[in-house]
This record gives sequence, C-alpha cells and structure tokens, in this order.
Amino acid sequence: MKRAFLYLIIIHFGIALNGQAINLDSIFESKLCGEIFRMKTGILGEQFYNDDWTESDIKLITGETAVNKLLKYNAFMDEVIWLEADGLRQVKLEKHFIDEFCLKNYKGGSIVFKRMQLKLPRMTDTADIFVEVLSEKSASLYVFRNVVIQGTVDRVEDGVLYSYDKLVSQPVYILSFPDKETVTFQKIGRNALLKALPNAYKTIVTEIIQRDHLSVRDEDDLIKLVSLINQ
Amino acid sequence: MKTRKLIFSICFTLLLSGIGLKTSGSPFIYDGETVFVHTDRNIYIAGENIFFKLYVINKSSHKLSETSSIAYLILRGRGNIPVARIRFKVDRGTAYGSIFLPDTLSSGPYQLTAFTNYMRNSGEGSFFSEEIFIANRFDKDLSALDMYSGTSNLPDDNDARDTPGNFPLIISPDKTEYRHREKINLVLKIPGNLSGLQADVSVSVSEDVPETDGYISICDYLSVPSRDTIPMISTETDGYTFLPEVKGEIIQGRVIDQNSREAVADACVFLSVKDTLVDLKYDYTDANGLFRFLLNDYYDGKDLIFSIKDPGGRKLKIEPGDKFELINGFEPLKNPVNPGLKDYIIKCQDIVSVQKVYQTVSVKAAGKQFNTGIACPQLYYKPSYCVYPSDFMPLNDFVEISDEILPPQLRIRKINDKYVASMADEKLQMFLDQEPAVFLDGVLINDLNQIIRMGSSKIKKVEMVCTRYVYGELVFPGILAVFSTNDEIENMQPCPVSLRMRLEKYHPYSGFTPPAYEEQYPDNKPDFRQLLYWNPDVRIKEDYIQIPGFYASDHSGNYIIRVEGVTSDGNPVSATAKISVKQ
Repeated sequence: MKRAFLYLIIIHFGIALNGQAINLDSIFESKLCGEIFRMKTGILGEQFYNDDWTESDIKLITGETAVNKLLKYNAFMDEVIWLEADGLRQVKLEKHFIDEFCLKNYKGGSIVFKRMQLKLPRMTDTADIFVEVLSEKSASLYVFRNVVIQGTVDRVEDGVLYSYDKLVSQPVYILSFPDKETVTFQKIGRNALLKALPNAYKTIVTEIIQRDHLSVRDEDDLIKLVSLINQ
Repeated sequence: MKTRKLIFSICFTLLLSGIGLKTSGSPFIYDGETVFVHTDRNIYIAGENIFFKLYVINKSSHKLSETSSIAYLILRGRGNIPVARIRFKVDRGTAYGSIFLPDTLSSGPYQLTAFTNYMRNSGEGSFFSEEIFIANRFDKDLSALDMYSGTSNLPDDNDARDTPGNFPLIISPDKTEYRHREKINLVLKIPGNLSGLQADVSVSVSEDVPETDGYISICDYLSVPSRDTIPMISTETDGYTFLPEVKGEIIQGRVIDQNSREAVADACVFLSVKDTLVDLKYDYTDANGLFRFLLNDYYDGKDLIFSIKDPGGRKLKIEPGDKFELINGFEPLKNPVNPGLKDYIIKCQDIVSVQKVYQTVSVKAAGKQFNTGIACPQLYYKPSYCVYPSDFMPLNDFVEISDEILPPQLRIRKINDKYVASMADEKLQMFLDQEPAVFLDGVLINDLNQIIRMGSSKIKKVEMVCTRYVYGELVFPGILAVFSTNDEIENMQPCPVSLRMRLEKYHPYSGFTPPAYEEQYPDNKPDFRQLLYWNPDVRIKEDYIQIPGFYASDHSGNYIIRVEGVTSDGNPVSATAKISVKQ
C-alpha cells in the first residue's frame, strides 16, 4: 500500500517536472484604457443597465481578453464603466477598443454585449453601439438598451428649485437574418414586427407565428421566434 | 481499509496534478518541448541553400507540440560566428524554410542549433544541435575536413529513453534505377495494421555521401535520454525564467543600476514603436529586475523603443535579453575522417560551380499565411483636437505653434530655461498640475524640450487628448502627440534611459523547386543537382500518399530517400530507401 502511494507521488512529481502551471493571461494581462468617468448628475431615472458593479470579461480588438473586471454598462451614455481594482477610480473605457464584454453571473446568467456599427432609427449616420446579445445563430436578435431624456421634472429641495432630466428606457431591437439583412424596430408586437420585416421574410415569419400560435408581446417571445427561424 | 487508502491516494494525486485545467485566466501546465531538424543533406557547398524542416515535439506525448508558436534557429561556425539567426512562426508544431549559405563562407564544420523560448529553461543542452560541413567552392585544399566527423552532437550513451518505437513507414519508388532526367514516382505507405493514422513528414532525395554513417534520424534523436543541462529555472514568475511563446513573441530584459550592476525592481518600462498612431505598452520589473512584453505581429520588423519612466536620478540601464545568445561555444567533434569524403566534396564544388552558372535550382517562397492579429496597441482612439500646421502660416518653433494655432487647452511656459507644458481637463475645466505625456512619432519621449525647436516645416500633425487618461494602472495628465514630417524620432534619444532594438521579421517559409522536364526546359542546360527532391510539407492522411513526380538530374550516382516526421499518435517516423541514377 505504502509502495502504491509512493508511486503515485513519484508520478505526480514527474508531471510537475515536465511542466509547471503558468498563467500567461495573468502575466500579460491586457491593459484597459479610457478617460476618468464623471457621472452625469441632475437626472431622474436609471442610467446604468446593471446597478451594481458586475465581474466581467472584456474582449479587446487586439484579440486579448481582460478578465474579472468590475464593470457597469451605462445605457444612457452607451459606455462601459470600469471600477479599478483599488476602487479609487471609475474609468469610461475606450469604446472602440472593445469588441465585446460579458457581465458574468448577472441576474443568474451571463449577459454578452457586442460592439456593432449600425444606423439607428431617426439617425442619419451609422454609429458604434453596444448591443445585448439575446440570441445569436444564423438569425440573431440583439437589443440596444437605449436610455433617453424625455422631458424635465422640476423639484423644490430645501427651498431651491432644481430641474432634472427624466430618463426613460427606449430599447431598439435588431433582427439579423441569415443573408445578413438587418432590421431594427422599437415596439414589440406582431404588426410592428411584420411592418419592419423585408418582404422576403414577411411570409416566413407570418407562417411561423400562425403555425406555432406564437404571441409576440415581449423579449422572450422574440427570442422564441428567432430560434424558430433558425430551425 | 486498504481500498480506502488507495482511493485517498489516487484522489490526492489527481488533486495535485489537476491544477492545469485550461480555463480562461487559470494556470495551465505546459509540457516540456524538444526540437528536431530534418535537413536535406549534411554536407553543403557555400552558395547553396540548406533546406530544412523543424519539428517541435511535446516531450511527454511525442506528438507535435501545440505550445510554442515561435522557434529559433542558429547556424554558427568555428569561433561561434553566426551565419544565420532566424526566428520562425511554428504552425501546429512544424516550420520549414531554407538558409542561403553565402559564397564567402570558409570551409569547416558548422553547427545548426534550434530551440524554442520555453526550452531555454532547461539549458542549452536541451537544444537540438547538428554538425554539418560547409566547403568553400574555391577551397580545393580542404584542410578543414580533418576536423569533420559528420555526426550530431548527441551524447555517447545508449540508454534508450522511454519513447515510442519507429513507425514502420514504407517508401516505394516505382523503380530502383533511373536514367538521367527520368521521372521518379514515390509512394509512402502506412502498413495495413496501422491504417487510420496520420503523419506529418518531410522527404529528401539527395546523393548518398560515401562512407558516412553519422546521420541522426528523428527516432535516434528521441530515443536518447533528455539532454537537459543546468536548468535556468529560478524564482521567476511561476518558476520559469523563459515563458512559452503560445500567443506570440515574448521579449524580455532586465533593468539594472549602472553603478552597482544590481537589478532594479518596480521600474516602469515602456515600449513603443515609430508609427502614425500612438502605441504604448508597459511593464513593471520584478524583484530580479525582469520585464516582459508579449508582442503580436504588429511589432514584426519594427524598431522597438524601450524607455524607463522616472529613473529618479538613478543611472539605470535596460539590458535586452538576447534569445540567440549561446553560452556554450561550438567545439567541432574530432573523429577520423573517411578518405573518400574529400574527393566527394571536390566533386560537389565543381557541380555547384556549374549549377551556379546555369542557375538550375531556385528557392520558392511557400506563401504560408498565418491568421494572427496585427492590431496596433493604440493608446487612444480619437484625440480631443488634431491640428495640421501646414494648414496655417509657417511658424518657427513649437512655442509659436502652441501660441498661435493649437487650442488653448495646451499651455507652454518657460521655467529656468526649460519649457514645461500643462494641459486643461475639459471636463473639469481646469489646468492639470502635472505635465502631459509627450509622444513624438508615436514614441513616448516625455520631455517637451526635445521637440520645442520643431517648427511648422518639421511637424506634420499635433494631437491632443485633453483629459486625465487612464492606461492600465497609469494616469496621464493629458496627452500631447506630435508627428514629424521626417521621422525625427529616429535621430533622437527618446528618454534619458532608453534602448532601441530591431525585431527582425519572421523568416519566410520556402520550398525547393526542381526543374520539371515535362514543361519547357532547355535540353542544353546542364542539371547536375545532387538534391533531386525536397518536400517539407507532406501530410499522410490516407493509408498512403503519392508524392508528386520529380526528375532525376544529369548526375549519375546513388541517391538516398529519407523520410522523417511524426505521426498523429506521437510516433516518430524515419525511413530510408535507395535509388540510383545512371546514364
């Protein structure tokens, strides 16, 4: 018995001599860059997608990955905010150096955001935006968690009148088809969806909705519809 | 009870060994490596090419290694004078190419050494090394031949290592005797009982050198016990001084105090290269003064400029690590030489002279493409301001440029004969106390006085980032980047402590292109090739492979077909066959 144990220990040290554990990712950790973040004040409503700092991985355009960084996604500014390890500084990361980021263990799952170049409704030019990946296959569904100012609210605090910008969520859904054609729509509903679809897909989607008795009322329904398109 | 103890022992051992799961951000156990080089021959005449294939092999499994992506090869002669120092990209454990041997090389034994960065931890004894003989075309005396033995520098012991046996590959030429310029067809066969295996091999068909038996095959090489010598393992990161180059080249060096020669810890070393974008990397030295940078293809063939941030009055020096440095000198083996070899080499000299005149053989680039990123490690994406002085009236110096055409967010003052800059943070709407980071042609110079004399004629573009900018753990109080019209950075020392180092381009993959007589080829052009065929990239995927037909030359003699390689299950492949060419 003792001999068997000795053999096992020898085998282990044999392995250890042949190769030791090296963490190259930690030795050559990617450096993040951006400017010091200052939060916009004088607003009412939630500007962040995630209220708390969430441990995340960031894939950079250089192909490197920065792991376990504390991030918040500012949906109002469409920027990623990084809290440095010492907690002293918040940094607005350079958007164009980020390919995608993943908020890990957020609300029980991992949420992936990708940087995409897209022309949004009512915009004249394309812009780089972060979109949340809801479903990604040959047909994919993304959502741009857009937060906009909708009017102002005046409040008297300690006898002083303050004017606040009111933030509201105005998500934009992006449906990408296997032939790379992309449509965007803001309201979730059968009619709104069909109106946005190109003619080639109108018939297919109508057939799927009718065949599976699918209601198109929320994000989950859209995800289900996209998975049926992929089938 | 005994069973319980056994289970405990197994679990304990698995726990100890199982820390190497390959997950993102987790440590990974990289197996040791060894390198074998198959050369087309081992006797050359100056003016010829050495064709070779390099195999990086996992020491444990003997399969082609997937760890190192870069390998190094040195050819040196007596006195340790290097003839070639090249670095290769390794593609799934192999790399191949050629080295041109300059006509001016003196006759004598030369040593071919190959290794990976990771192998340097085990000392030079673990490197592959082979002795070849190169004769100068005009040296008919060949006195250097007395020192040549024609063997690899392997230790003289017969203790077989625990390696898999030779894979029994069958070489089947369609004939054993060929006429001049006759087509030769070769088939490589895997025996029936081993079908289903794949192999990555290289094939050479060259004239058999008389009375030499010093050739070392891959099977011989792998069956010799480990040649690890003094391990260079120190107390560095994770126990290794030299890390495996899995994702790209790792450049390392040391920072020392010039006076005491002691290592300097926690010094911030910057790396940037001349470019039209501002690029920057940095690393802090460890307790041994060691710094490391992982470089992607962006840096290939560029001048690397290292500098130290705030030497703080100390006289520091950056010492780059030289991957090609060999500590052990080359000592040729001194074995008795066979009498027929001198006549053979004199014949080779004559043949090469004729071949040179008619340029019968050529090297062809293999055009191998690697899918690696060449993203520039840009510091910022878009500056707050970008000004082209050529859009304005010419100005004499940078002070005038700052006063007249740059935004007021940059302020330059003269204090005690030195110019200092400060930059306003647009968000804070105030000037920052510290000086902004100053870059010239993409390189950190950190001293405004170096560019203060540059006027409009010398400056192409000025970029300003008017905010406190974070890069990793560093915070720059604004960034001022000046791009010159004439690469001024090449004529100045960027920082008081700086170092320039050229990163040579990766050696291109190349192959051998023998004449094809089916195509138009002048009949009156002599062809005395002693190397009939060289194919470094043969993949046996089925039970056999038909090698594309090649032609015998006008040179009569006995030729040896050598196949070296590795199978997919980690068995070395080494096989030989003989053919002859007659008129």
